[in-house]
Order: sequence, then structure tokens, then C-alpha cells
Amino acid sequence: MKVLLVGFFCWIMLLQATAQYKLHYAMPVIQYKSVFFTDTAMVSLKFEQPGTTIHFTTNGKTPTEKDAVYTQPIVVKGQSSTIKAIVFGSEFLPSDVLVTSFYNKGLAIPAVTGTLPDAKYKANGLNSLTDNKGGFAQLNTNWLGYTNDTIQFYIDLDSKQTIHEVALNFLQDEGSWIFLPTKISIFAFNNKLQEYALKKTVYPFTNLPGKGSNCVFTSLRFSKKISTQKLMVLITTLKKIPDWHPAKGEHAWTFIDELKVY
Amino acid sequence: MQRRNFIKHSALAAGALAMAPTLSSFGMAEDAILGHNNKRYKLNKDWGKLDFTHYPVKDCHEMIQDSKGRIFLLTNETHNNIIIYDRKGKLLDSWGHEYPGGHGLTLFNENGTEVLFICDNSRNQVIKTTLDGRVLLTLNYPKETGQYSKQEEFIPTETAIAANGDIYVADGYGKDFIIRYDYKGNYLGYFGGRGDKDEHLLNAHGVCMDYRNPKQPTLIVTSRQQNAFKRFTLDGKYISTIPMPGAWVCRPVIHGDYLYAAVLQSNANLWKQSGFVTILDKDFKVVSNLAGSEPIYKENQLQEMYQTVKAFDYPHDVCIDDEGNLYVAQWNSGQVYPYKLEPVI
Repeated sequence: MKVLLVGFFCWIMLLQATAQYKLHYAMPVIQYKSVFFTDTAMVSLKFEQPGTTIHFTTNGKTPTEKDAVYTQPIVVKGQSSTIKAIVFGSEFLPSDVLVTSFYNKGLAIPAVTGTLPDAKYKANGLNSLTDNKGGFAQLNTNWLGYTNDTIQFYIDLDSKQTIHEVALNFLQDEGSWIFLPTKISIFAFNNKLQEYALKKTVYPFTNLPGKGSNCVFTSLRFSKKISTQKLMVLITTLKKIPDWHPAKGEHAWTFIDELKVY
Repeated sequence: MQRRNFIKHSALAAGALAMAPTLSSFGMAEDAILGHNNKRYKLNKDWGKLDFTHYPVKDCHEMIQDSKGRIFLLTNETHNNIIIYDRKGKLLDSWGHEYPGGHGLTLFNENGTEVLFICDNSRNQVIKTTLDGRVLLTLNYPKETGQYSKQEEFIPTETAIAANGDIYVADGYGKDFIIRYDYKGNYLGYFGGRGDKDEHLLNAHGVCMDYRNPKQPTLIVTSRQQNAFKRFTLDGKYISTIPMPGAWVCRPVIHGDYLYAAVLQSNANLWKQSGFVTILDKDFKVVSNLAGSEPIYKENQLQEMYQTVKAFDYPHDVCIDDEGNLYVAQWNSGQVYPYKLEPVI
């Protein structure tokens, strides 16, 4: 019985010692100029809290304490790269995983024409879609904002190119009535028929509550490569804000800051 | 210890150890030490918990302590807009069914009698009441300013009451003006509003009197979306800006030599429960962030601040009691009751 009691008090002491560890650290803070880069991008992480270290990976795996400790800016290259980072420390439980992806600029897009944004959120007009700037989950001046039912973009690559993917970067921010589109279609121009032919359609998102502010990079990959000079992107926006939202029934906003062709 | 309890506890203890993150199942206080320098606190999340079926809360917006030591909480739950606790978290009383947008709560000692000022941003009014809820005065939209054409444009978030009884109302969800009245509610003037000059405000969410320098009483106004506090003279002349980079600061609360404020969220992680609490000394230098990053000054410039510990979701106000304990009320945080934080010596 004595041994049991001693054992029990050890349990209690151990529990009291670890009780304060119940809270988690927040994720590290990530800093970059843009998630879109030309050759390379420099990415910084920070977490100013004594007794903590940031561990990160660039291979897609969730970091553990065995993975690299962040000490200096990370250089990103390739078509795309994902940084995952976690804070570990002595006082609290590890943070959630910070996940941020970076994307190469892709094929040069000399001109985009099509639906113009609302005057309040027009950035630098449709040129903003190809300026390689952006990827911040906040309402800054890079974003084009729309309340149209559909948005159309015409892409002219200047000459025939072989492509396998078209991608768009959207903002999600329910607090500002900004929602994700419900449907995206990509059409390629057929020179012989002199018309646009549908190549791919996705119904990418359901808009659920409590998502916060996020950048959502949406990639449409073709089942096989196509050869074309001109593309058309047709985006169907969310017409009515869902019932769970205070502004239910109003027209949702759609925000886009970049368009990529690979 | 009785044998039966002992067995029960051991079983739970073993279970708890196996899954360390859920220790609260053991029934132990879920505490953690938060903060920096000489302002560190032990967190108690259970302090304000009540029977939700009888004393529900929605957003817990603001808190004050009266001279009897009682802690008043204002919530926009009209079942009981005001909940009154003792320091130990015991429910003492509750009242109020008519404040659907109850947001700002300020206490003022009016010649020995304490009164409350409630800002209701659904009713678009400021209401002065006794401590038991009898209405003494109601302020409607300030048409005398010439800046408003209807009641709905006025969405007050906070009041501050000067020693002479003058009432300053922050229209923090309306047009961001600070409107001044005398103690009877007669209009005296206004300042602030939106614009790109230093004296302009963006989301003037809070206002308080600063009597720490007896020779120069001032007003401190929150400009939340600018991540700053701004100081004004009592007649509304701009003095200076205190940048709070990265921090969506709510109302300033002065207790002793220090200024305390809930930070609704971090710019670095918007609308993702990234709040913390910040504490500034008499010289407006941040000395501690509870659940936030260590305050760092480089060449006298405060560096960006952000949440570092997931202790709070969206803190909306702090109250410091006569014993130096700190209470945190939260907005949109799963209808949690206020937390208490006790200083760690």
C-alpha cells in the first residue's frame, strides 16, 4: 500500500509538472515578398518566444524535432515548393503545422483581357493577374475583387505553346464577404474550328464557416498536354452568401490576384 | 485519502499521462504561465464558468470592477446582459435584457455613487445606468456634429468619463468620431473620424482617460485597424501615436502605472483566433505580451507582434482588479466565460 501511495504521489507531481504544457504554441510567422517567384524566392520564418525553435521541411513531410532547425532564410526554387514548419519548445505543446506553397511564374503571358474588376478593388487592372505579386491572405492592393455572376479571362500566349496546367490564386475571407468560386472551366482555342473548346471543368469548393483568411491556389491540370496559343478561363462565382453567414443571400465577393499557365 | 477515491484518481492519472494533451479530463486546473519580464500571469480558464442553461453568454465584450470588488461582465446575450461575479468567480447577480448589442462597459464614480455606461451597437445608443440596471440617461446619434444623418450611422463601441463627468463616446463601428458631452449629456464637440492624417482613426474601438501624469491628463483612443493607440488632449487635440505593430488592440485599460489591452488578433494570422494581451509601461513601452511574442525594440521601433501561445481566441477586453489579477473577456470564442490570470511573483 505504501509503495502504491508513493507511486500515486509521483503521478500527481508529474502531472502538476506537466499541467502547464497543455496549451499549444501558435504557428511560426512566415515572411516573403510574394508566393510567386521567377528563379528563386527567399522565405523567412520567425517566432520570438524564449525556449522555442522552429523546425521545417521542404519535402512535403510534417516536420519533427529531428528536421532542420530554422536559422536563416530558406531559398525556394523549382516549379513549386512547399514549406512546412512547426514550433517546438520547452513550455507548451508543439504548434500546428504552418504550410505555405510557392509557385514559379510559369509561361510568360503577354496579355490578359476579359471581365474588369469592381472599381473598389481593381488593383492594377487585369495586369495584376500576371505581375507575379501576391499570395497574402489579407485585403491588400494586389487583389482584384468581383461581384459578377461569372468572370471570363482571355489569355493570349503570343504563339502556340504546349501546356498542361492553368492555375488561379483566390482569397477566402468570410469576414469580408469574400468566398471561393463554385466552378472553373478552361477552354483552349481551336484554330481550325475558330472556336474555344472546353478542356477542363472543376467544382472546387464548398464554402464552409470558420475558415478565416486564406489564399487558395487552385490548379487545373489537363489529362494530357495541349497545344494552343489562346485560352479562356470561365469562373462561376458564389451568387448567394450561405445561410450560416450574417450576410446570407447577398452576392459574395470573389477575389483573384494571379493567373498562371504551365 | 479514501481507497475508493484513490483508485479512481490513479486510473484517471494513468489515462491522462498516456494522452498528455488532454490533462483537463483529470479535473486539474488548466494553467500556464504567460507573459514577459515583471508582468507574468498564471492562466485560469475555469474562473468564470457558469451553468450555461441559466446564465448564457454570447460575446463577452467588456468587464469592470466596482468599489465593492465585484466584477461586472457585459455580454450581448439578452438573457442576462450583465453578469456580476466575485473575485473567486462566484456568481453574485445578473440583470439586463435590453442590450442586444451590448459592447462597451465603463464604470464612473459620480460623487460617491458608481454608475455604468453601456454602448449598444445594435441600438445605436449609449445608456447610463445604475449598478443594478436602472436607466439614468440615453445618448442618441450626435446630429449636432453635422456628420450624421440617421441613428444607424452611429455605432458606439466605448465611452470614457473624465473626472468632471464629461462623456467621451467612441463611434468605433460607425464613423470613428470621438464625441464629447457634458455630464448631463449636452453635446460639446467631436474629433477624430476617418482620413489619412495623424489625428484620424480607423476602427476607434476604445477610449480611456489617462490621469497617470497629473499635470497632463489625456485621452487614449484605439485605432484598431491601424494597429495603434492615439493620444489626444481632453479637448481633442492630437498629441502622439503609439504604434502597436501587428496588434488589433481593443480598448486601453489603465491600472496603476500600466496600460493593458486585449489584442483581438494578430495581423500575421487574420481571423484565426490569433489574439493575445499586451501590457505597456508608463512610457508606452510594451513590457509583456500574454500569449504573444516577446516585445522587441530595434532602434526604438517596436517590432511586429503576434500570438505565440494558443491560450486565447479573440480577446476583447481586460479588467484588472484591486488585487492585480487580470480578467479576459472574449468575442466570438465559442461562448466562453471570462478567464482569470493571477500575477506570478
